Amino acid sequence: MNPTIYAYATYVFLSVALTAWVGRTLHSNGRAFLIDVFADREDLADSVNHLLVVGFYLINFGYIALALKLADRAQDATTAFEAVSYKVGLVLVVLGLMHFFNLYVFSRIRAHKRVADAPRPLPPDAVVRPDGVLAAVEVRTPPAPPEA
Amino acid sequence: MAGDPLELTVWFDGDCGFCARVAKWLDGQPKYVPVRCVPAQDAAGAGCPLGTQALLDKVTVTASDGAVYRGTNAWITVLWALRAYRRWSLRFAQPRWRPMAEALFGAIAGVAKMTKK
Repeated sequence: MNPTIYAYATYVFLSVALTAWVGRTLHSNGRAFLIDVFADREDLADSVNHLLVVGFYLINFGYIALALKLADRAQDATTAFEAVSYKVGLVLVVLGLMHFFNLYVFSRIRAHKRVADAPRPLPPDAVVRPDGVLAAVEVRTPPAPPEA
Repeated sequence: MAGDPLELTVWFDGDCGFCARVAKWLDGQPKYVPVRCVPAQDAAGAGCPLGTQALLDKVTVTASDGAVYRGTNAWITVLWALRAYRRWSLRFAQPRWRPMAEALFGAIAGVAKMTKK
């Protein structure tokens, strides 16, 4: 066993552990949010949540596998340590970017839902009563609707 | 009336080619709420409590719950019914966007008056 093998083993172990941790965090904390977005349809929220996490794992494990190879072999404990640190650092940055991308997707879904659920933004200028008579005619000053 | 699905009716000037085109465009848009476009000239027959002259004066939207919207408010309410434009409707309804909305829909009303036969 040479230092490079140790470096690879440590890298794979740390990266997989970190990815699993972030993935589980996303999975457990994204759920409540998605249930809100999908109007209490828990089955749908769980399904979307699961699909998002699967995509997250695929991209991260793919990246970990692609980034495994060291350009310069580790000569001793010091260079092995440096190599592992560098590679794990890259994985962390990629995880961070993925995490923010996920948050962006969530907030987009949520903003879209807020617009879709919005009631009519203005009060009527007049009202036709059920007996067919036009009541309260002509323009009122528009109220201040909630900020969109 | 509460609980009934909401429906909007747009009363447009049937003698104005531009208005008819806008009505046709409206028909083709994906919607959250059904929107029906009826020429103002047919108002009496269609049971609208507003007279044709009042409808021609300002574009008018009536809702199935009895609400009536006129002019810029009518435009904002129609945009609210459209999937692609509800975002804009909520924006135009804010006081600070009101002058923009008045200018835009005022200009459209001006074009409509110009193309009237």
